[in-house]
Amino acid sequence: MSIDFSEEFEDRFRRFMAEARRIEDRAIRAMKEFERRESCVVPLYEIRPTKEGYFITVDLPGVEKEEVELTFKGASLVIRAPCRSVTARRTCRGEPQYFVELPLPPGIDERSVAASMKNGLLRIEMKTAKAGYRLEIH
Amino acid sequence: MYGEATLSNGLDKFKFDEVDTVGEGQLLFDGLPDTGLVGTIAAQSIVNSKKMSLSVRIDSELLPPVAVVKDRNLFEPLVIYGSDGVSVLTSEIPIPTEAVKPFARELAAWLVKRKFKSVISVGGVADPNRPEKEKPEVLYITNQPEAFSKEIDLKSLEPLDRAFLVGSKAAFLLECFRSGISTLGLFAQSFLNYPDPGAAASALSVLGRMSQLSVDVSELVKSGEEMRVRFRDLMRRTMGEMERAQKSRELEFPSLVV
Repeated sequence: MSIDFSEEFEDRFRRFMAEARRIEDRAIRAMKEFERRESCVVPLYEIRPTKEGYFITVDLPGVEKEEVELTFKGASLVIRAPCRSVTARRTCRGEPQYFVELPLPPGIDERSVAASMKNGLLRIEMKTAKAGYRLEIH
Repeated sequence: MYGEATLSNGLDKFKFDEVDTVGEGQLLFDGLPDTGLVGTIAAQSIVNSKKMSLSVRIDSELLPPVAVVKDRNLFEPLVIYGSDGVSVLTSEIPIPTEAVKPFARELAAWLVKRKFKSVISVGGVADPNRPEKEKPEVLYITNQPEAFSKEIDLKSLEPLDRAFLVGSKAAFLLECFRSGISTLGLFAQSFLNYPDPGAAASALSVLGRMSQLSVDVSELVKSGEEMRVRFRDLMRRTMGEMERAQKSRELEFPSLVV
């Protein structure tokens, strides 16, 4: 009796893809429910490691730098800004606002944080607190 | 069903329901969701500016059970709009990774059957330095430069020399090259995970001399901020599919190409 491995592989692949989508959908649903409940827009963001710490970008279309409110709250960075999008007004009650609470990686030196804004893209650079020490190789 | 479908090499997974006449000798503009939604934003801009109407509805068991409600009517998320010898392929959902190859194969076969003359596929190529660039560069790849050189100044663009392409555009371009349809892939440097109307404007500028595809790019730039909010949810879903398709390979270099 021969076993069809390709069928077994396809079955496992299908299950894996279905599970990956279920997890992703659960996360997106939680975020969209939060948006509706809190009448806000959670912007797209990206956190990238750098040599000295982290580089974060947050997409805030239509926002000027004076309008952004950046606050440290425990181990998070909270970002608020007005959102004037017509699309957002369709789903939010009242005046929509961009809102996101970013969990910060451990060891961030809060005093090192530098933010800038260009074309509605918020850029935040932050350094980790300790530079570490060099190990000798024997 | 979605996520439970059988993987198959057959040409019967996608149904192309032509609701309007698709004439011979047409150009297909591919605006499927991908990096920075560059092609999708460009496609939307063309469809709106040329006031195109729905010409083909595409459906498949491999797609999620999603319907789009518009003007009290229901539509498939994957559709082709058309007018004036041009068809524009666009989608409200990213193509699920396991459906990418069957769809590319069947779409190319349908294009051959319907005697399409050429294909222009517009996408983005992720550039970590995109925030610094006011006008992103556009790279190209083609199997028949002479088919496009009358209307597009390919010499002013950089060719895509050595790279990996991943996702629905990669699969579709491969099928088009294989089937011999005159094909041009245009890739604007863009954000990976943010909708990028600026990159779409750069790509559309290249097509400015093609009357059927020329749009007022300044309008696109002006409405860019709204588009970035409007396309946010599609971008999130597309990011998930891009990860499942191993999009990170586009940052790698082909080992066997010397």
